[in-house]
Amino acid sequence: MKIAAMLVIAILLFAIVMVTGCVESKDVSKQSSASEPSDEEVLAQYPDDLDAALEELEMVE
Amino acid sequence: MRKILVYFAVLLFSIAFVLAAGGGGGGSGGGGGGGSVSRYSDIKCIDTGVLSFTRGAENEVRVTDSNGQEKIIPGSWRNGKFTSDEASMVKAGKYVVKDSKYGDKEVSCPGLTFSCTLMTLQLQECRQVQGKVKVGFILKGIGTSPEDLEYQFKQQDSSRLFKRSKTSISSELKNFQITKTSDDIFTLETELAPAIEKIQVSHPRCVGEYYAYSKITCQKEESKDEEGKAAATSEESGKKLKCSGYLDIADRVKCRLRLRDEQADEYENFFPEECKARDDQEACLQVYKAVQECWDFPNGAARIACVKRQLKLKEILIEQANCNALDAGKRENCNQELREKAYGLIKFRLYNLEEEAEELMEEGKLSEGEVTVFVVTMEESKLAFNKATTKEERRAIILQARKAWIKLMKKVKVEA
Repeated sequence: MKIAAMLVIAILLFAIVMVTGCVESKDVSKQSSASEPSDEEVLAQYPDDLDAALEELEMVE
Repeated sequence: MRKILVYFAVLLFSIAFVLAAGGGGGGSGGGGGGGSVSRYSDIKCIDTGVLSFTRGAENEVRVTDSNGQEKIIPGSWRNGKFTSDEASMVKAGKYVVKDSKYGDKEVSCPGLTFSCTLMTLQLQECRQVQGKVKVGFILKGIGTSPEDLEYQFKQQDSSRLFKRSKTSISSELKNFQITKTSDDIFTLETELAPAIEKIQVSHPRCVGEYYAYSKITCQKEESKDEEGKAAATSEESGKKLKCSGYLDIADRVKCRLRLRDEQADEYENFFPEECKARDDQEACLQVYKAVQECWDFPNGAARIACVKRQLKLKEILIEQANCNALDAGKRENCNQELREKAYGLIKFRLYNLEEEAEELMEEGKLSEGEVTVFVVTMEESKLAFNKATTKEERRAIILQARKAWIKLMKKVKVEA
C-alpha cells in the first residue's frame, strides 16, 4: 500500500514539474519575442524624422 | 524495495526538472560589445604592421624593440584611439609602448606579411575582342597574390558590374584565368559577351586604405588609329581618383567610412553620389556644399532650420500661397521651384540618417558592414527619388527608407 502511494506521489510530482516547466518555457518564448522591439518602439528611441518628409511631400504635390 | 521506489521517484523528478529547465531555449542571445574601452585593453599589433590601442592622452607614440631601440610610431588619433600607419611594425617580436603617465605596455607583433601601402597594383591594358577580354596588370608587394584581388568589369552604357573575387564570380565571366607573364606582370583572360567599358582591379583588404586600386578603359577591336594600331588608353590610379573612383557604390561608401578626419574634406572624396548621377552636377554640388555647415548644429530642429535657410525654403504653405497668387505664367515655375526645394529638404533627411548611422558606428554600436549597406540603400533611395515621377512613388521611397532605418536600428548594440 505504502509502495503504491509513493509511486502515485512520484508520478504526481513528475506531472507537476512538467506542467510548470512548460508554462515557464512558454513564458521564456514570450519574453524572447518581446525582446525584439516593435517598429514603433524603435522609432520612439531612434526617430527618423520621416513623418516630416511625408508631410512636406504632401504639401508640395 | 522502498529504497528502489525512492530512487525511482528521485529519478523521475530529476528527468522532469532537466526537461523543464532545458525546454526554454531559443532566447535572444547576442548583445554584448559596446561601452567605453579601458586604457590599453584593446592594444594589438597585426600583420599589416599596424599598432593600435586606446589611451586617454593623445600624444606622441614611442615604442622600444627587444634590443632597446626606441622609435616614434607615425599614425593618427580618433576619439582617444591610436592607429599607426601601415608597415610601422615590420619585424616580429615583443615591443614596449612607452608611457610615463600610465605605465609602459608590452605588445607582441606578428611581423609584416601584407601591406596596402607597400603594394603596387597597376593595370596596363584591357582589350575585348570577339567576346573575350584580355587584361594585363602589374602586381607586387609583400604577401600579394592575383587570387586575392577583386576584378570588376563595367558594362558599356550601363551601371552593371560583373565581378570576380576570391569567394564569388558572376556567371557571365566564363573560363576566367590569370597567368603570370613575368616577374610581377600578370595576364587575365576571360570570356564575357556584353561590351565592356572599364575594368577595375582592387584588393578587398585595401578599400579606403591608401586607395590601392587601378582602372582602365577596355579597347574594342574596332578602336584603332590611322596606322591600324589599337588606340592606347591610360590607367587611372586609385591614388588620384580616391574614394569617388571606385566602380561599385558599396566600395565608394566603405572607402568614405574609413577615411581619416584629415582626408574627409578632399574634393574627390566628398563628391556626392547623387550629384554623380545628375546632369546638373555643379548645381547639385553647390547644394551639398551649402548644407555642410548645418552638421555643426545639433540633430533636430536647429539642423533642419539651417538646411531650410541654405535651400532658401521658408514655410512651405506660405510659399505655396505666394506662388498661387502670381500670374498664371509665373505660377507653375514658382511651384516647381518650391517643389525642388522641398525635395532637397526631404533628401537631406535621408542624408541625415546616414550621418546618424555613421555616428553609431563610431561609437561601436553598429558594424562597418551594417552601416555600409544602409548608406548604399539611402544613396540609392535619393537616386530613385530623383527619378520618381509621381507622388506615390516618392512616398513609397520614403517609407522604404524608414523600413531600412528600423531594420538597422534593431541591430544597434545596447550598452549593458
